[in-house]
Amino acid sequence: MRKKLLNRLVQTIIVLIGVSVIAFGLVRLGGGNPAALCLPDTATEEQIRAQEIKMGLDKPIVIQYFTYIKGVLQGDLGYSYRFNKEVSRLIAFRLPHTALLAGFSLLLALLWSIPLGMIAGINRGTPADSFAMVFAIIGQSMSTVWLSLMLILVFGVKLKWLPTQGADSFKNIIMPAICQGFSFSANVTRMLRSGMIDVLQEDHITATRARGIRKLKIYVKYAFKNALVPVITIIGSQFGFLMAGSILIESVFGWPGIGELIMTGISSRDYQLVQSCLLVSAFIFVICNLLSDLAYTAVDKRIEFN
Amino acid sequence: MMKMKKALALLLALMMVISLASCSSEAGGTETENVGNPSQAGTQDDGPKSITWVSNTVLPNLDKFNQTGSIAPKVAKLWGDSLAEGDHKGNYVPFLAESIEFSDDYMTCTIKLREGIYFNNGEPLTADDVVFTFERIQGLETWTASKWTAYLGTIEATDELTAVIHFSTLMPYFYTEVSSCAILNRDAYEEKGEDFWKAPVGIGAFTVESFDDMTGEVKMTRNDDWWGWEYYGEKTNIDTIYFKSITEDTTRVSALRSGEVDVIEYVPNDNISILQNEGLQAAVTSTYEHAVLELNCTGVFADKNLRQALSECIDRELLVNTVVGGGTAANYVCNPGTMGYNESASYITDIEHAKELVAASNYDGSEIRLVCTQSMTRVSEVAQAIQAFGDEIGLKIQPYIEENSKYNDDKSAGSYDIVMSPMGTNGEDNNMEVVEVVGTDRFKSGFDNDALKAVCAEAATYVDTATRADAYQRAYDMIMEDYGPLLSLYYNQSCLGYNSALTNIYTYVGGGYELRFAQLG
Repeated sequence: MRKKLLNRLVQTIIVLIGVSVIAFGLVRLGGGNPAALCLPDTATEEQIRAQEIKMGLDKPIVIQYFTYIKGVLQGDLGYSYRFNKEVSRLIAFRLPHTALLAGFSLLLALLWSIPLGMIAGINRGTPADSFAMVFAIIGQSMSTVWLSLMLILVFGVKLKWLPTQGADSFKNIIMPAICQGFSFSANVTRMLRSGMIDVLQEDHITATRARGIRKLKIYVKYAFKNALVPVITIIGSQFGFLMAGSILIESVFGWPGIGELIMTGISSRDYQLVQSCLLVSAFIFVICNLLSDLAYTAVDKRIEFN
Repeated sequence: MMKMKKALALLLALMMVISLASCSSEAGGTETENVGNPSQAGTQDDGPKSITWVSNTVLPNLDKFNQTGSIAPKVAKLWGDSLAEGDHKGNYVPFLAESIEFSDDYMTCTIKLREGIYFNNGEPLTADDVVFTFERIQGLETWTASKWTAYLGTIEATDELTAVIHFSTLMPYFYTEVSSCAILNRDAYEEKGEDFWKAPVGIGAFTVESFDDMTGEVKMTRNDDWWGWEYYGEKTNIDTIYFKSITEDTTRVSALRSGEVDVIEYVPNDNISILQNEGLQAAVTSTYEHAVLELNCTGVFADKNLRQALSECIDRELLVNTVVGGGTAANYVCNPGTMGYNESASYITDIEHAKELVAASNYDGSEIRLVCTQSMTRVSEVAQAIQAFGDEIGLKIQPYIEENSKYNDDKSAGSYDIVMSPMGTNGEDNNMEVVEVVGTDRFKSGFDNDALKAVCAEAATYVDTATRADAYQRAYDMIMEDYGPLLSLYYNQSCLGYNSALTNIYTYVGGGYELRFAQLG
């Protein structure tokens, strides 16, 4: 196990190096002059040139890359000229907000979708199953932006039950979490329903019934655990995806997360900000995948960690 | 089973219809909210009164000279008085200064301060603080500071209340810049060091209690000892102002409608009636920004006939009323209320004459590249309207709506036939447009008019605002006559939304507004 974990660590480092090169190259391929974008559009060429020197953009591209990597290894993620702050401070402030939103939306989504998926799988062909399928279809096809605006209009503006923006209190997280987790909960419902249907038809379940084990125990202890494996896959990848930040949700609800940071960085060609955000997001994604792989082995002993 | 499915489908359809109906802005509003501000914020009758003021731009810090945005000076208006103030009619009057006098050659400026004025930490205002303020700017290497550093020579305090600025070269827009430069307390700055900007010490109606540099949120409390209460003869009853930013337009408006915030800037045009229907205030003013077509005069538009044809084919009134949804059709190359504006000038719309001009030109029907920035409001619709106007007279205009960085690249390189963009000024002074854009041909329009360039260069030498305004007008008249390199389309409007429990909020041409004397309740 230790050897395999070490192996994964080496793979992680390789992935991160690859991400750093790709991120470094991609933002520069987008064109535009970051120095010019820091200044008003009436800035003269001399002023733009001076800004380029200040930002280190006059150096050869290879030197720029290695200077950046050297900084990263020393804990310095660069400087954001758009926000006039160190990138590490910006990420340190926003990442917990993104993590909180991601975690809460995942929790809400699972609290709803797991029971629904199970009930639908157990009671196939019944009204409960139909309800679950309709919910799944709506969840996967509904526009997140539309849902966000509707929730703001109804619960924020009309009923005044919940705040429409910001991150000041617990109430602020409810609407963005619902919006962010809605589509995911639809996916989980559908996947768990299919998993339960498949597992309940297997011979070992028939055997447990024949042994007279209670239905609830069969569904939860035997069927659910086996049906959960594919769901863990999407939970892991979804959490990693959410940790990269949802630009739409964060913008609409004024949630100070990392998605909005990346978007602003891209549009203002804030190279170091975008590179570092992508690097951090990739790192989190890799960790989430590792944790979901470990979770498989805990849920299903037949699966080896590899 | 089938019945269940049908019932579910019907329920779903009903939910969508209800939600669409509740989106309607013309459904008579929500009568329960016509009583005005439904907010829990800012409506305390006996307790402390506070309001939340929201902009669409994040405030990176409180130091105007370490950023390029316009939001820091707006916030500074509350906590940091300057030596002069604009009267919103193109004139500047001494404020912290009792008098500002220039030598005959405009190379020396003597500033006599008012007596008995104190910073919010209780220290008296002296000439040494003025010296410190400008010397600090001289030590900065930012673009905003360069507005001063290019001109400042030495600054000295000749007595307790007199400061003298010696310029290294004439500073034509001295008054514009000095009226948005907060005077700082030297002792507090030297004592606090880097922490100074977390709660800067200035002279103002409000004192900054805290600034969160991560969120850009500011908390300011009323300064009861401010000299301006007596000077103006009125005083706010608001104890605390919170400033924050909400960048998304819809969210900002929703926050006002729900009562979470009290004052918001930049209400989109199509949300103005929503606010008014709900009993909220929506103060609409003209801004100092106009939508402009900048013509590349090295290509098809080297021909004046074609430039004139383009101008005459555009129905500016139609554009404003049906496409933009707000604003005023332009009659001149600069905005009303700005220096050099000529109210008797006008743009003509004459389709038939425009067609004749196209026929008389050497235009060969090739594509005319119209480059636009996607950050402009309703850019797609306006660009398509321009295309349609051009089509009517035989001009093949093709819009290219570009992301900001690509747009900047193309504009700087002259890779366009027409550039459509918002162009604004810093206050009433059109220096940027006349001297920096047209005078230096900053965006490589290739417009060849030596007389125009000479007038633009001349304008840059005048400090006296009346003389400079006259030079600006001469430059603008030439641009109007020659239909280039700028054609103005419309003057933008700005809307300030606020809850109706607030009064005494003054709004001005230019999109400015005054919160220092606001009354709540």
